[in-house]
Amino acid sequence: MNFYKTFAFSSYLMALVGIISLTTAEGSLYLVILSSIAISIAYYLVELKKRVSIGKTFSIIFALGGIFFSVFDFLVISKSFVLSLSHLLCIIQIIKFFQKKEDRDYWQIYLISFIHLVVASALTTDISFSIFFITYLIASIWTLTLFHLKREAAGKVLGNEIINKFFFTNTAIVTLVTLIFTIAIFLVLPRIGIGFFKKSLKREKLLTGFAEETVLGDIGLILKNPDIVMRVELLIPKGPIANKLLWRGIAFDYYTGKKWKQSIYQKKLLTSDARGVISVKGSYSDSVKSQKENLILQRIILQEMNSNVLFGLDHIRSISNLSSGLKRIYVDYTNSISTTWPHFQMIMYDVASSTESEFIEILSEKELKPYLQLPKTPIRIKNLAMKIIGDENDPFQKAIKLERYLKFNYGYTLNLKRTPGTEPIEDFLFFQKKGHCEYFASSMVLILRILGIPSIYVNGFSGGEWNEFGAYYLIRQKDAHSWVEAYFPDRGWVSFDPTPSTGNSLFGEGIWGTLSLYMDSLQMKWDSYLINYNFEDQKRVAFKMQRQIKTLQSTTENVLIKLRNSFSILAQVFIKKIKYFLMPLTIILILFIAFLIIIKARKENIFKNLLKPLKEKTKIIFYNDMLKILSDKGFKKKPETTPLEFVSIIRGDKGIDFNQIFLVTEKFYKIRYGHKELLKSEETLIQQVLKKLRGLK
Amino acid sequence: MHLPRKLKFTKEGTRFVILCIGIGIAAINTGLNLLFLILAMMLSSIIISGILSEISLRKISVKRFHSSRGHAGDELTIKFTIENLKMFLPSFSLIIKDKSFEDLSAYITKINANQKITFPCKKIFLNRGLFELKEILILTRFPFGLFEKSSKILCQSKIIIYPRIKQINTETISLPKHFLQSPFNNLAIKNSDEIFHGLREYRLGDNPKRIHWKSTARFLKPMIKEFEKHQESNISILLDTFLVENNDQKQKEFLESAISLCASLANFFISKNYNIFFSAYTPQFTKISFAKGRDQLYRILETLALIKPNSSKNFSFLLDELSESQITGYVIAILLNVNQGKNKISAKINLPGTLLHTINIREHSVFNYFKIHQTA
Repeated sequence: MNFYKTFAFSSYLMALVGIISLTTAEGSLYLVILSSIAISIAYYLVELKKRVSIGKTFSIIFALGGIFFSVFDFLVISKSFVLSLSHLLCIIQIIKFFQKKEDRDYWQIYLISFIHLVVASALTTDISFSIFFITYLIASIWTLTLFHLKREAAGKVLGNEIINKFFFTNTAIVTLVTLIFTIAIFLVLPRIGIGFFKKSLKREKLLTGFAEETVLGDIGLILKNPDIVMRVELLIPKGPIANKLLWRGIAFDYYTGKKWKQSIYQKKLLTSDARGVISVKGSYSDSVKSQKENLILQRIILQEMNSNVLFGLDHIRSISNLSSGLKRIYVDYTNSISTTWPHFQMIMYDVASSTESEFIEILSEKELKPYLQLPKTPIRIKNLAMKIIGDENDPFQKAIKLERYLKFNYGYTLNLKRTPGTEPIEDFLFFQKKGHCEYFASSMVLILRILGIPSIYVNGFSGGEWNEFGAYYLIRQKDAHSWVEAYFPDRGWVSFDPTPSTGNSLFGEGIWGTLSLYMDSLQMKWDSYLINYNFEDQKRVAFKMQRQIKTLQSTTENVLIKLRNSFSILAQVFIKKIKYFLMPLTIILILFIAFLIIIKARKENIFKNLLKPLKEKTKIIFYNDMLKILSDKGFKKKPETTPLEFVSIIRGDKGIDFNQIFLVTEKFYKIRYGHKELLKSEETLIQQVLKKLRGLK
Repeated sequence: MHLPRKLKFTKEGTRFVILCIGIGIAAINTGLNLLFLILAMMLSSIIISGILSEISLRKISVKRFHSSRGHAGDELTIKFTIENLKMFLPSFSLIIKDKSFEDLSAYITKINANQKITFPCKKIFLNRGLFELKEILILTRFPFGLFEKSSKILCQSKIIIYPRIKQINTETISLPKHFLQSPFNNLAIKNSDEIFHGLREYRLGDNPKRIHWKSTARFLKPMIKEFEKHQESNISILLDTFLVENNDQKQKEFLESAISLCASLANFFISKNYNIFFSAYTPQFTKISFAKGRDQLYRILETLALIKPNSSKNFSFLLDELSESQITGYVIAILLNVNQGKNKISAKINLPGTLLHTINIREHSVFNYFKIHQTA
């Protein structure tokens, strides 16, 4: 593959991933499409067709245009400095792609794409970021490696031998190893969370009905909103709960006739024990009748929202495992749990809740007084109350009767109509006879209070969609609900829900429904293990690893001891039984090994190579014989004398035939240096010469 | 032998680390785990960068081949052989730098496993002398150009650069004619230092190889060629290295010219098969006895290459050190100082059969070569 084409492609890919991650995190589809098209056009025209590259003047003009647009963006569109700056960087990056690029330009493009990724990480917590992250990692490794090679070559043309299958395989391995290191470092990096400028760039969800006061109708505003509020993983027990689920948020005691609010603005700061568990105990006064509790442990991942309320399954007993965003936890006199600030970013915490029937709170008359507050109530509501309870004397039964009455005699609707000149509750009870949960709950609280039963109006969420893949409940804004808590001296606070039930899963049916559930469970895991990974999780991981190492150590020791024992027994048996066969077995083993060696050596011509010098030595032995004969005759060849020099030295002396000696020497040269074979006739001749030499005196 | 690795940041690497710190601060401040993820990615790329650069440098053998001698002003080829001794993995982006030369470096984009690459570099040594070549530096900035990892390979060797040899302008040399020719005529025995003297009658014991057959046929009795040793085949070159002021640049230039002239003369006469004797203060008293051939030339050139000026012993001292047998035949004295009077030298070198020529570098431009005045 062409080096330069691959380099250009990976550079554009890296920039594209950066831009798409940013625009996707913003949730702006048109920006995703627009920027993708712009970069694709740039790649096509500039890199593939080599047609266009804009000059400096045009670049400046476009950049100025970009600056004006980003000012407009800051003031009107995004109204965020960071986002408008990111958009400006997008524009600059695209302009750079249309220019003729030098090394410095490439560095700027890569830096901008990195900034896009960083901004995207601050804007989103969606699992789609993981795909962008991994793609960016792959693209950046390719790009930076190729860019480095291109720079270092400094004008030298790089051939196609670099980009081959080996390069891509290696890059894939490098990416995988980098990812492993990334995860390891991520797990280990300390989570301190100083939090000077902690407000997230992400816009928190607007959630009405969970502030210090709520107007009748606030909950109704969000009952059509499918946005996810929280995910609740059931830790104990695992699996869906059969009972009706009421996720308690905030409670109100004072009704003005149109809105609910808290009469006493007083909160108690809760502290954690040595294990980091914050005990709520369910009572502002902390007095309890029974400690026997059957707890339900939930892990709640709460999305960012403009409320500081913490939710949990009714009745919340303790909170623990707080994510880094949670510092101070408060409880008020209505047992509503909250933090100092609204949740600017996603938070995670564990809640232990007990079933209401096993928990009893003791309250004095003075403490119960706010829960009996009534506004100016029309007489017919009081008459209705009497009519509903009939002869019933037991307060609890009265409440049950009232709950049933409202549930079965009034209809549910989100499309409210109002009768002019009437109070909302009066209108609901006597004219409209249908409404949503706020009206049902408010009506019940009023009537209970008329009957002298202390009660409060509670806002929270009800039900949720069970996701079997992740074993958690998904709660959306449309699950927002209002219900009633009534106090009975022998039962404590008991929840009543007079609203007729409604609601469908938004995940749908069939394969898409299943796929949606699965994707949401992945999102849940992403939120749980990565987005909300905190110091407590780090401690847990460290302890777990420590335990696993210890377990592994002891397991290994046990296995080794067992092995050792087994071997010693086996060895004893073996020695006893096999000692007679030891010798033959050893011989067979040696022979077998030798056989294998020979096969291998033959394969690699080792013997041939070993024998080669030996063969050669054998072939030239005649020359050594001749030297020996001559030495005996008094002609000793000195080591520094070459064979031919030796011939010339002994020339003509003592009757030695020079020609014969020369012939033998020549044949020696032929074999030794010419690596040739002697003919039969030559061998015969040599033998004759040697014979003659031996015969000389 | 490899020395330990060294690591340093490049410009981009410094910026990358600063960016890491910035992201780290942002992550710690906001507590956003995705920022921690990005920080972790950056830190792991630093680790990967270190691992890959180490793999690139590992098991790379660099060898330097060159001739052990050269001449000043001539191109010398230095060959580098780089071999990747790894079994499977290639190395990328290697820069080879020879620490002995600032401008000698090479870049290798990729070298496969078990591959050997050879590349020659040409280097001109302007000055004579002994050059010790030191270590070779091999470095890489692979894979991202953030850090530079280098390793030195000890690869010591020496090159002796001989003085510049130039052709002698024989027209400017006022030498007896026979000095411009080979001292041997056709009748000389090969590799003999004798010259044909005449013919005489063969006597018992004479070497029969010296029988001159033509004369024998003419005189009808065996006639043999007679040779005598050619004393005039000896040439002594004496070099004055005395500098009054060692730091004087002009004097040093004269010395260099004198050395170059010495080398050129030695080369010229050895090519004519003369016996050459050489002596000078280097700064110790040095003499190279009479000999001929290329070996003798290289001995003289090697001495000339390593000569350092001396500021204590002038030419007279040199003459005093020499014996009569060492200043016979043709003596060429190359002088640096004007005060070395020719008569003074002649008085010292006054043997029968000795011919003295002086070349005073200060008086005669070396570019004319051997514009010398023959003395009696």
